[in-house]
Amino acid sequence: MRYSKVATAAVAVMGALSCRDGLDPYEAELAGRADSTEVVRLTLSPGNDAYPTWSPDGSTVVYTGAGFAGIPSGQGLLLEQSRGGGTARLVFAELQGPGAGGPRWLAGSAVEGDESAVAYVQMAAVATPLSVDPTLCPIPEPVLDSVVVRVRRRAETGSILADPAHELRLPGRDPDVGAGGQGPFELRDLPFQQRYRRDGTVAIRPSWAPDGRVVFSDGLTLWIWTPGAGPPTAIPGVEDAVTPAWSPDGSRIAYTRLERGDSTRVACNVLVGNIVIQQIRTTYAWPRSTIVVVGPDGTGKRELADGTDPAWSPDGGAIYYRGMDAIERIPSEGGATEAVAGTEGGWWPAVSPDGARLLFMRKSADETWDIWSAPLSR
Amino acid sequence: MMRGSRRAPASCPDRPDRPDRQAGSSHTAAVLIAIAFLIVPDGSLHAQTTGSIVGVVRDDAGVPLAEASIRLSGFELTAISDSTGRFVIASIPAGERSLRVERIGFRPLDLTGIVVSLGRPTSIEIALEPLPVAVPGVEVEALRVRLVEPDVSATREVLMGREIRALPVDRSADAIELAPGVSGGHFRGGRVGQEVHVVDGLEVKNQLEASAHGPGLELPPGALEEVEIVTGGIGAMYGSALSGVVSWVTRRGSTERWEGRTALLTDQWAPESLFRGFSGLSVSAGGPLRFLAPRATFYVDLLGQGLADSDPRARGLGCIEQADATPDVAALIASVEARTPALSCPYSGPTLPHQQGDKRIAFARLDVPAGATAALTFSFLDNRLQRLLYTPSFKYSNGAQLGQRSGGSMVSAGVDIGGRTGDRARHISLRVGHVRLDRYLGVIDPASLAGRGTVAGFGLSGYEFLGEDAVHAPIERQLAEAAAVPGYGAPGGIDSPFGPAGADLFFTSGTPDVANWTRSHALSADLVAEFIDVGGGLLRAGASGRYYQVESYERTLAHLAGSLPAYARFHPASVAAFVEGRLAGDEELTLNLGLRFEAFRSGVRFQQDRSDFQSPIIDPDWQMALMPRLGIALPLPGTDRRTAVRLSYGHVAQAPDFRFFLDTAIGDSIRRAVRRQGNPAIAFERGRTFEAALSHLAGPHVGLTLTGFRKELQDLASGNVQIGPGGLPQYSVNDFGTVTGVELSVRGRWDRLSTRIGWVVQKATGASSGSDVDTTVTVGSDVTERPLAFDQRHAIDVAILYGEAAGDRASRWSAALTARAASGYPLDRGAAAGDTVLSTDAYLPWTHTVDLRLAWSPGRLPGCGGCSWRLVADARNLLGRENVIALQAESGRLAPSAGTISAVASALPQPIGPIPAESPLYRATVDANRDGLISLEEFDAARLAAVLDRFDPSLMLGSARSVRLGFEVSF
Repeated sequence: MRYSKVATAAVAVMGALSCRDGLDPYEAELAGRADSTEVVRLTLSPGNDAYPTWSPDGSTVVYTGAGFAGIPSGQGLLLEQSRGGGTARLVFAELQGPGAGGPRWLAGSAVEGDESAVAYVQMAAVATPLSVDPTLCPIPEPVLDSVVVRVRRRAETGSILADPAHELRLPGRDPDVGAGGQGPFELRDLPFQQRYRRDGTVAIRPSWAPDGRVVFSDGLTLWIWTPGAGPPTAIPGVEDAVTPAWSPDGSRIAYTRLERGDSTRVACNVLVGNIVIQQIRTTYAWPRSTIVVVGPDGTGKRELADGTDPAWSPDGGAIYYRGMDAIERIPSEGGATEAVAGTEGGWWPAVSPDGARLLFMRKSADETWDIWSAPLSR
Repeated sequence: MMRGSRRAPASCPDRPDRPDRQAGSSHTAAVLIAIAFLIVPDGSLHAQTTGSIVGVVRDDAGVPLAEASIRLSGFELTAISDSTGRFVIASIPAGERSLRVERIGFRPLDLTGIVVSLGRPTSIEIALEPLPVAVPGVEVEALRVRLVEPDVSATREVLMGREIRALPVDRSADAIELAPGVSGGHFRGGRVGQEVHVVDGLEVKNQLEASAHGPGLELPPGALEEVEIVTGGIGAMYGSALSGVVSWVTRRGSTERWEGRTALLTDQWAPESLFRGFSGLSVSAGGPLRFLAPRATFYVDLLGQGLADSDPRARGLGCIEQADATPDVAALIASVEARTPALSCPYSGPTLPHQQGDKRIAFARLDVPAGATAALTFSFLDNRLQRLLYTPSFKYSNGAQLGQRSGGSMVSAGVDIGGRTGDRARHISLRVGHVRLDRYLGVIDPASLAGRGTVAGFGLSGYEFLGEDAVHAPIERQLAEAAAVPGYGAPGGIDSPFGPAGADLFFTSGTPDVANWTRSHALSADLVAEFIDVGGGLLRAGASGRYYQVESYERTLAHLAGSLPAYARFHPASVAAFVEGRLAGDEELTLNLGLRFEAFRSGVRFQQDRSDFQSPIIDPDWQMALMPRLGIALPLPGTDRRTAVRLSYGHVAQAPDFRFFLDTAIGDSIRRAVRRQGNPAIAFERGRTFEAALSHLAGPHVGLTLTGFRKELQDLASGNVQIGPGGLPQYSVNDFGTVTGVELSVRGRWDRLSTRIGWVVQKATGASSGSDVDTTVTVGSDVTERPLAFDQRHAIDVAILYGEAAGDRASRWSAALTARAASGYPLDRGAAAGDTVLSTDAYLPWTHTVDLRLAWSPGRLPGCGGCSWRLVADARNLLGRENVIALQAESGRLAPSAGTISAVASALPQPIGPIPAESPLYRATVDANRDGLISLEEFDAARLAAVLDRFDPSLMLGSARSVRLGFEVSF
């Protein structure tokens, strides 16, 4: 029975083998990039990705972007993606996702300290210049006309119209300075409009105070607003102020002062329908931009350095800003400046709550903005 | 089993005085095997579980012997030969039986291996050897398998249960394919479903949807005593069939002792290239229940199969290859490989995904004698087959998949009463049964699938379908709620490797959108009475009735709240009666005459035009059919019954599948949503059959039969649609067709070897109005020529059995090799191109398959004195051939044409611009250069790759090569 034993052994071996599992279906490869110790580009959209900011817990990058194929984007989508990059999500899918009822242009967001709400700017369409006779007068540049600063709770799913809002008529395009609607009209070409035309950046940046108030700019003045509690109040003594940033402890506000220089004034005849009206154009020189710190009550104003778009370090001890050609750092009480490596060409810095990374926006070779993330040495 | 091997006297040491019978076995054998399994009226009986033996006893000089005692071994059935030496024993359970023949002055004889078919008298001739003095000892002879049947006017094939168990088949139904004329479920070129299945005399045809889903009930090989396949000369006892009859006879327990068998076969230990994920376990046992009654028996058989891929294909999961395509498409494939290699066939494997499944069959049979001449039979059969259905558009989805669970049960009880009046035997059989068939096609709950306990792929629990409770809820509630089927979701998602480029081609979220179930109950009663005289003459009459409850539910786009189900519940009924007689001359002409009447009523009251609420309500009448049948068998004079001819002519009819009564939107196999309007008023599908055959016994070991046949079918219902009232597509009932063919059957039988070879060529022409897609339906009288199943086809079937498989129980080896080759189906390019005339100049290639099953017995099982065991190896598609079973109609290749690929690709949504990494639409797999941006060029390449991948030809190829190993233990 030699064969019998061999066969028995064979069966025993077969029986000892465990049964195979069923087939695992294909698992698609997921996109994603880990957090890096290098300066990394977080957005690769062919469109503009701009105005980066952090969620208060530092896990998420919130920005205004484009590049969502299939989603009507208008000119800006409020997006967020994880700190290390990867797939972005709409911050408010019900406002901008498919079926939201048409494109909305949202920009310049800021997340409240307890993560419960987001302040943002709803942009209106750029104003169309009045028809002019080019032989009489240069065609005026397009200007920002009006925006709405809104605050929306993250859990909110209702209409955008129900969000606390403050509508801003931006200065520089005063409708009727004459009598009876016949003009003359005045058009002031302020530095914040020139900056918008040059860089495409929006100056109306809301920023949260720890107590839930919001500061924002209308291009000239800083306003402090308690959402849902009446109209905002202007900070006295502050002029030509844009891109404010409230310090972490709420005691100070840093902003960019777009200095108004000399002005030139010309009068043009503009054809509106069949009527010729007169348009007065004032153009201001914009010699420099500076970083200024001021108390919420307008006291203690102090100019720190030349630059724009200030952002506070988490401890409030330093301010990052766009310097000569890179993101620079200066103590909030003033002192020596220091460029952050790898941020050449960077604008609009935002320091992570843990102080480890710095977001900024930078133009790519195709002249569109992208979000970058750089490590910060501590 | 009472199967004795042929014991050659020359090798018997205790009988040296015997002359060498081996040399003269063809003539001087105690039994003259005249191979005369006379098939009285051409068919078995749809209420019987028994057959009969008629014969004549002579001495070795040919003088009839009266007063000989003939006793059926193992049963209390006896007969005494009359003055002409003739005898008849009726009420014999079908199967392989043995007779003891005794007469004073002659050596007693045990005759084994007599195949008794259900409802058929088996004719034998017995010659006893004179003995001058009484000596002990019994001659034992095994009856040769018949090689030609000179008294049979039907074309039939009988497979014994032991043969089926030795064959390399997973399903009993696969064994049927060995019968000449049966190919791919088609009987002699007819459509699937034109055959009737009879289990122990009870008709179990899936009257609701046989043409789409087969018989519905399945018997395990371990439960079979024999199977008879009738493809021509169908007798008057059979109804509900146009093209064939399959009569299954189940096993009963031995009256002598308990016997059992356990068999395990699996490929779990096969190398990856041969692994298909099959595991099968069969357990059976049977024996006497003497406490119940003397000779009462019980038999039970359980079968479980676990399947990782329930339909493995030759290429497994793959993609179209350059060799599959025309040169321009091959260039396209090459360009994709070059442009985006990661997306060139990104998912392949030896098996198809999402095709797991399992099968469970339980069978039990109880036989209880009731007095000397009556017997009661109770049987129970339960099926459950469930499997996921590979759906190419969902192959990248890890979520819900489409699946189907089909099952059924049969409970039957019968009483058989035998008796004798003079030299006539009589038999009365009454049988009642209940058959339930269930089928559920829907989306399987992935959570239940994940948490389900399995052993080697066999699930201990049934599949759970999403929303099954809701789908079974009262239809009024469903209509009122108009809600989506719970759990169903819109198919979508872009998580296939092709990302957004594969959207609309592959779904990675949501569910398939079909929910469909059917359930039918049939109550049956059959009564048959017959008289058989010792000369083989027979008179038989019977009647039957069937009452159904049918429910059908289907819902397409079931993820949409507004989509409503189509539901029907109705009660068809049918009745039948027949009378038939057999006039048998002494070794001369045998004439079979029969007349059958059938009627059915759909039981559906319906509005003729469902689009017009004012159209009249119709209550269909009874539909009736009268079917005369004639069969003639004639041994040619002067050939010593070695050559015979047979002729048959008959009218056949069957009630169309009940599903054709109903509106439906789910196609037969492609599950597409083409709504068709049912037609409850359709009448019988009818036909006439002609057959002529010549049989010849070419020596002691080989028999040949050449058969020519013609089948004319009309009033066929089909899935093709025509324009009905209101301009809606409606099931057509105007199909017709003709099949003509020639079959050559060669059977060989040696001591340890048996062979069956069949070659068939048949040509089928048919016609139907309209087309099978509603978008191309043409109104009017245009007739589109279509083949019934295939128009011209060669089919060759070979089965070679050796050793124990061939009936030699002394052999340690058992080998069964089957080979099949067939020419391909016609390729319907004309229809695909929108032409109205079918072009049949192109065909699929030939296919061939070789399967082999080997078993070897080491002897007794160690540790179990009464057990023997065997090692088994079972190889399928041994040569590993890639059989092409379908082609793209418009290209004639496995690959579609470049035009089709281009059209599909261009019909897909276009991106509005490049897709950056932070976009939810971004997938790194599509970003070929990994620069974080899917450019439009990369998107186009990915989309082309996705289209090529979507045309995965896996399902267009035949079964895969696999090897299974296992063992059997029997006691």
